[in-house]
Amino acid sequence: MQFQYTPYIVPLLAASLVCGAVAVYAWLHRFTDRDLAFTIVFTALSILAWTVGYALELAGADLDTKYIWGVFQYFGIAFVPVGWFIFSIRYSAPARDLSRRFIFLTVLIPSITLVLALTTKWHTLIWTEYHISQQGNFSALEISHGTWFWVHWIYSYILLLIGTILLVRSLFRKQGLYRRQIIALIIAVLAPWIGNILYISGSSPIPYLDLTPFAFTITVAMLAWGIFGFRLIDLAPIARDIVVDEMGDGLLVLDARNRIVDINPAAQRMIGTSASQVIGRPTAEVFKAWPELLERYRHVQEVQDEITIGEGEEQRHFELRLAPLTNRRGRRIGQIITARDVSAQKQLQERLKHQNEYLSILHQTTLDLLNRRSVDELLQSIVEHASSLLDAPQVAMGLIEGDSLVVRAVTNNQPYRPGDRISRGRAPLSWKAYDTGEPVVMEDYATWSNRDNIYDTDPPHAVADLPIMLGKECIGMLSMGRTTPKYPFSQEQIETGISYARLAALVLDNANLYDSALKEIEERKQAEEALRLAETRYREIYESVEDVIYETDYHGILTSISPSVQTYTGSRPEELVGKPVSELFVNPNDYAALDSEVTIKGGLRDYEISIKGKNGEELIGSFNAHVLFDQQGQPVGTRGIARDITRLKRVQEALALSRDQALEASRLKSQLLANVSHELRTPLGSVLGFSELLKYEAYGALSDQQKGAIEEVIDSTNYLADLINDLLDQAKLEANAVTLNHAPFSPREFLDQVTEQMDVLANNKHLQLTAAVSADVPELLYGDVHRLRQILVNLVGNAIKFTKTGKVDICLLRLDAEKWAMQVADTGPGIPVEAQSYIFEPFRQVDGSVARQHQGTGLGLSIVQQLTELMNGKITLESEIDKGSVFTVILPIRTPLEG
Amino acid sequence: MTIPLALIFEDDPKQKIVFERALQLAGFATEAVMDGLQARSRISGTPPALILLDIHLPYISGLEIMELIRADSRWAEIPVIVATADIFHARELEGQVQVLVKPVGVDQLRQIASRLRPADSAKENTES
Repeated sequence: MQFQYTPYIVPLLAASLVCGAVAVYAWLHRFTDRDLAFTIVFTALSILAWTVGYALELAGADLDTKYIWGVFQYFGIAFVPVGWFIFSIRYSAPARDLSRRFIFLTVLIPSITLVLALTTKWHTLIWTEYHISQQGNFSALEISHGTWFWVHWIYSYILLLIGTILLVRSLFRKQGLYRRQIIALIIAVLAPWIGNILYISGSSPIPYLDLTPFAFTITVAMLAWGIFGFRLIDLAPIARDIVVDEMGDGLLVLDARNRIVDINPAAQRMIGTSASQVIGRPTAEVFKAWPELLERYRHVQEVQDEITIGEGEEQRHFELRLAPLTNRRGRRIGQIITARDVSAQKQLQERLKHQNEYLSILHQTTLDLLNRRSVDELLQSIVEHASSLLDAPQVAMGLIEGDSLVVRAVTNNQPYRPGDRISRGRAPLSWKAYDTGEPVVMEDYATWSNRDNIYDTDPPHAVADLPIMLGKECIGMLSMGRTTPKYPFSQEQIETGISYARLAALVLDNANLYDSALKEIEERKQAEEALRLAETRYREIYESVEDVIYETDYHGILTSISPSVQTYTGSRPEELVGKPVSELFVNPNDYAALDSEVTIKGGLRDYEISIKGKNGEELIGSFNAHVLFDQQGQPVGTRGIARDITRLKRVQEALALSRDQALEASRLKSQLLANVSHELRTPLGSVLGFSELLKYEAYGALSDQQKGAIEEVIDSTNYLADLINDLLDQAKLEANAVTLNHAPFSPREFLDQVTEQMDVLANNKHLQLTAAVSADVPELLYGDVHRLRQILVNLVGNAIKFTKTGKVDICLLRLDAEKWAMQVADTGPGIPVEAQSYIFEPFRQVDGSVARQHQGTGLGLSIVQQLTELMNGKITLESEIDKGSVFTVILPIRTPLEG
Repeated sequence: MTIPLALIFEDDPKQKIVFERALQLAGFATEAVMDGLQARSRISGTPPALILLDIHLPYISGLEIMELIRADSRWAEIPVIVATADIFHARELEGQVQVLVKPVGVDQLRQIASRLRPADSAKENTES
C-alpha cells in the first residue's frame, strides 16, 4: 500500500477528528439520553469511517490502495443516512420506541450496499469501472456506478429527506428552545443539503473534493452540541411531549392579550374541551363558566393558590400556579397557568383527618367508658361525637325499649327530647333501619312528604338513620341530620357511621354490663343487709311477741316454737320441739283439718282451734299459717302464728248475745206497742164515737154543762189517740225501725190532700188556711209521701193548735237545683229564742202551761225532726214573739235512681 | 126514692153503732157485716153505694175483703173507707183508699161519707 501526501487530506482528517470527538462526547453523555447518544455515536463513527476512508483514498499512491479505501468508505456512506434518519425519528417522537424489526429493515439496504461495495470487483453492481483521475495534486478514483449504487443513492436521499422533514417540523412545533439551539439544529439540518448542492453544482470551495462527509461532520457536531451542550434533551421535544402532553397537570399558555396559545391534554380534560376549540380564544370566553375564578385572577400575574370547583361527589381541588412569561428583555409576553388536580390528595388528606378524628373519638369514647361515667352521660358523648364525626349538627340517639324507640340523648337543636317514646307509625325511616338492620339515607328530608311534623320549623336536609347493631340485634338508632342544603352523606361517611354505631353498641353493652354488675353488687349488699335486719327483727319479734310463732316439718313435728308458748300451755319450747304440733290441740283431729286447709290453699288466716291451756282450761287460738318451701320449691313444712283469742271470743259471744237480746227486745217492744196501740184505739173509737153522738144530741138534748163535759171527753180522747200515734212513731224511730218507702208523687196533689185534711181543724178555730206551690217545684217528686204528710200534718196541726187568730200559710218551695222545702208560717204567739234550741227534743214544749192548755204530746216536733233527718233533710225555725213562727223543712230533690 | 146503702164491715159492736149513726147522719142507709165469712157471702149480693171496712176482722181480714171487692166488676168501683186501729196498715193503704185511723170521730166520718154519697141521692137527702 503506497501513500503520498496531499493537502486534501487535511480537512478530511480534521473532520475525522471532529467525528471521533463527537462520538466520544456523545458516548460520555449517553446517560442523558441513551438512544439518542447511541444514534449520534453510530452516525459519528459512520462519518468517521467515511472521512478516514476518503482521506486514505486521496492519499493512496496507486489504484489498488485507492480502491481499498474507496470501498472502505461504504462503511460510512451506506450508514450515515440511516443514522440521520433514526436520529430524526428519535428526536421528533421521543415516546416512540423503535422496534428491532424497524431498525433491521432500515439497515437492510445499507448492509446490502456495504456487502456489494466490498465485493463490487466481482459483480460491478456498485462500481462498473474505476480509474484514477488526477487533477493537479488531487488524485481520486473516478468511478462509474453500477445498478445497486443508484438503489443506495435513492434510498439515502429518501432517508435524508424524511429525516429533514421530521426535524424541521419538530422545530416548528416545539417551543422554548434557545436561539442558539435552534441555530445549531438548523445548521445540522441544512449542512448535508448545502454540501450536496455545492458538490453537485461544482461550486465547492475545494475543487474536486466531495463535501458530503464534511457536511455530515458539521451535522453530527451540531446535533451533539445542540443536544448535549445546550441540554436539548430537557427542553426539547421529548421533554415537551412527556412532561407537557403526558403530564397530569393542566398547562395553559396565554399570550399578552390573555388568549390561549397552548393547552395540554390534561388542561383540556379539566376544562372539558379540546385544544382546537380554545386555542386562540380569550380566557374570558373559555372560563365563563367560572366567573369567580376570572374575577379573582383578572389582574394577578404570579400566584400559587388552591381552588375548589364543584360540589359533592363532583368536587375537585386544584393547586393553581400562575406565572408570567417574559422575553429575554423581561417584557411580559404571556402567562403560564398550571393546575394540578389535588383532589385525590385532598381526599386522602380528608380521609386521614377523618381517620384521625375517628380514632380520637374512639379513644375518647373508650376513655369515657373507663371513666365510669353514667350511661346517660355516655350516650350524650356518643351523640356529640357522632355529630362531629359525620358533620351532622342534628343527632338523636334512641334505644329500643319494648315496642318503642325511646330517645335517650340528643344534640341541642333536635326537636325530640330525651324520654320521648317513638312508636311505630312515627319516624318511619328509623323503623325501616331497625327492620332491615341497614342504614337508611335520604338526600333531602325537608322536601319529603311523609316527614315528621316535629321537624316542621327547621327540617334537616340530608338525613341518615344508622342502626346500632349489637351482633345481629338492633338495640337502637343514631339519627343524623344535616341542616345545610345539598350536602348529602357520602358513602364513606355512612360507612364510618356504621362502624361508629357498632362501636357505640359495644360501648353501651359494656357500660350496661358494668352498670348491671355494679347494681348487682349493690343489690346483693342491700339484700344481705335487709336479710340481717329482717333476721334481727324476726328474732326480736319471735322472742317478745305474745302470739306463738312456730314451725313444723312436713309431718307436723314442731321444729321451733316461740317462748311465748309457755304463757299459754305451761310447756317450755324445748319440751315441745320434736313433738307433733297436734299435741297442743284439744282435739288432735283439728290438726288434720288445719293441715289439709294449709296444703290445699297454701295458707290460711284466722283459723280457730281449741288449745290445751294451763291447768286443763281450754283456750281458743286463731291461726295464720302457710306452707314453707325449700329452694327447689318443694313443700317442707308449715310456719304459723297463733294468737290467744279466748278472751276476745268470750267478749264477742257476750256482745253478740246482748245484741241479739237487744234486737229482740226492741222488736218485741215495737210489736207490743203496735198491739197495745191497736187494743187502745179500739175502745177509744167507741169513746170518741159515742161522745160525739152525745154531743150531736143523738141521744137527746144536752144542757150546756153536759155539752162542755162531752167536749172535754172528746178532747181527751183525741189527745190519747195522738199520744198513741206519737209514742208508736217515737218508739220505731228509736229502734231504727222506720224505713222510708220512696215513690213518685205529685207535690200539688199532696198539698191538696193535707190542706183538705187540716181545713176542718182550721175552720173550727176560724183560722184562714192557705196553700201555695211555687211554680218551679217539679210536677213530680220522689219520696215517702206518707212520712212527708206526717211531717206536714204535724207542723200544720201545731200551727193551728197554737194560733188564736190570723192565719196559717203552707207553701212548697224550690230552693235550688237540688232542694225543695215545705214551709208552714203562722201568726201564733212565736217561740222564744231560748226555747228554739230544745223544742225538737222529745217531751219538750215551750212551757208547761201552753202544753197543758193545748194537750200536745210533746213528741210531734221531735218526730218531725227525726223523720226529716231520715230523709237527709233539715228543719229550720224562724220565730218572733207575738208575730208568729215559720217552720221550714228543707229536703233534697231525689230522683228515682237514688231510691 | 131509695136511700143509698152503706155497707159496714166491723166486728166491734160498739164501734159498729157509732159508724152506723155517723153514716146515717151522712144520709145513708146502713147494713153491718160482723165477720169475714159473712162479708164474703154478702159481696155476692146487691152492691151498696159505700163501704166502710175495718181491717181486723175475724176469719178473713179486711185486706182480703178489699181484694174480693176489687175482683168483682159490680163492686170494684164502689168507694171504700177503711177504718183501722192499726196505724201501719193505715199508712200502707193511704192513697189507695180513704183511710181513717181509729178512733174515728163521728163528725169526721160524716163529712167524708157525705162527700162520697152519690150525687142524686145527696140532692134527695137535702130535699128531705
